[in-house]
Amino acid sequence: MKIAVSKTREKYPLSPKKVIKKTLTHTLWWFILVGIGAVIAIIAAFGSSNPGVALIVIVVAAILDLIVFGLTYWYQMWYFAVYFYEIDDDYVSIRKGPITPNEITVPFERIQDVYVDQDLLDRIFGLYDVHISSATISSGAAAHIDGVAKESADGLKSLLLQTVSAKMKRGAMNQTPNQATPAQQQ
Amino acid sequence: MNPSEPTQQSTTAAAANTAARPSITEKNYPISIRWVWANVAISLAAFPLYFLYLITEVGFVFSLITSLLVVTINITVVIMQRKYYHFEFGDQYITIRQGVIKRQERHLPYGVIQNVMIKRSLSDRLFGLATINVQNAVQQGKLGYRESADTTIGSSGTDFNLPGQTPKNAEVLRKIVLEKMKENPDWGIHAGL
Repeated sequence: MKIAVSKTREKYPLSPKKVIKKTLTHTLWWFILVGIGAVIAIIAAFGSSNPGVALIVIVVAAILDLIVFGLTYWYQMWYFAVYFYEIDDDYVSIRKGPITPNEITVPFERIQDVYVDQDLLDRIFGLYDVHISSATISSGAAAHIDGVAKESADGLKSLLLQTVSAKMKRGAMNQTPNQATPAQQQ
Repeated sequence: MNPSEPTQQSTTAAAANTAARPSITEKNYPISIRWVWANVAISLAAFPLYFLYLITEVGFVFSLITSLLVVTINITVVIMQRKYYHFEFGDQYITIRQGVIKRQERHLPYGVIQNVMIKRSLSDRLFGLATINVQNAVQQGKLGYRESADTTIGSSGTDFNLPGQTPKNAEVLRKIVLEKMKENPDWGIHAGL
């Protein structure tokens, strides 16, 4: 699958472990449920007259698990490939979603907060989520680059913070000449 | 050094600038008729669901009539909302007039726009459309992020949602909004200076 290319993604790439982590996030509950169902069915089978049914139950459960895992893994590989993020001089642009793409663009002037976090599976795999929030409540959840390794996360965070502070300094410098010239002309 | 000259030059330059730029309204970026078809398709797909649900509760004829009524009302509302949705990109804010029965007019300044989102839901993908969404900083207690693309027309307190655009137009609109946002700095930082 063609990987979505951008300068930023080359410099601070997504970790490939993200695919397996997201597959697990989406399938773990299914596996647990199927496991519980299989255990119940097996106990019932041993209680009834035909214990061979237990074997069939195990096989069916295993096949279902494999199918779900395979489909989810394939979808996550596609998601990983199509994931696009770019941090240029003016804004941060993030596009995700293979089937229903969502793209969010946040200009640097509007960035209020940059934070990095990990959920439980992230900690197991050593991955980080970099969130970029503007003043809307939901934007921290919407504008985030998830599944990067530590150096990429630190690199992205410092790139963002540097660019934001450079813009703020430029903004402050641009204001003082405007205030100076009327005084000079007078 | 004549202090009035620079101001004359700047006003004529500004006038030329605004005259050269075409106005940006729903006439240039209409909500595509395909969006109406997408919603019709969704309503028709929902019809058997309504019908099957009702038929467990009430008789055949009543279920049929009610389901058809619901579908017709859905489609009518969608068509009317599209007819009565007007927006214009001014220099400092977006003016939005919407509403069939309850008419509303909103002004959304570029200075409070926080981000621009382009979403394509499943129906958007199937019909070759995109939705552009622009959010301001109003904290409306909307917990959680709307994962799905909201392909309804409208601007509520927090955003301006424009569905039914072709993907190319959505990109163009995005660039326009970002440009205007650059020209109109963030009200949060510069307010009070």
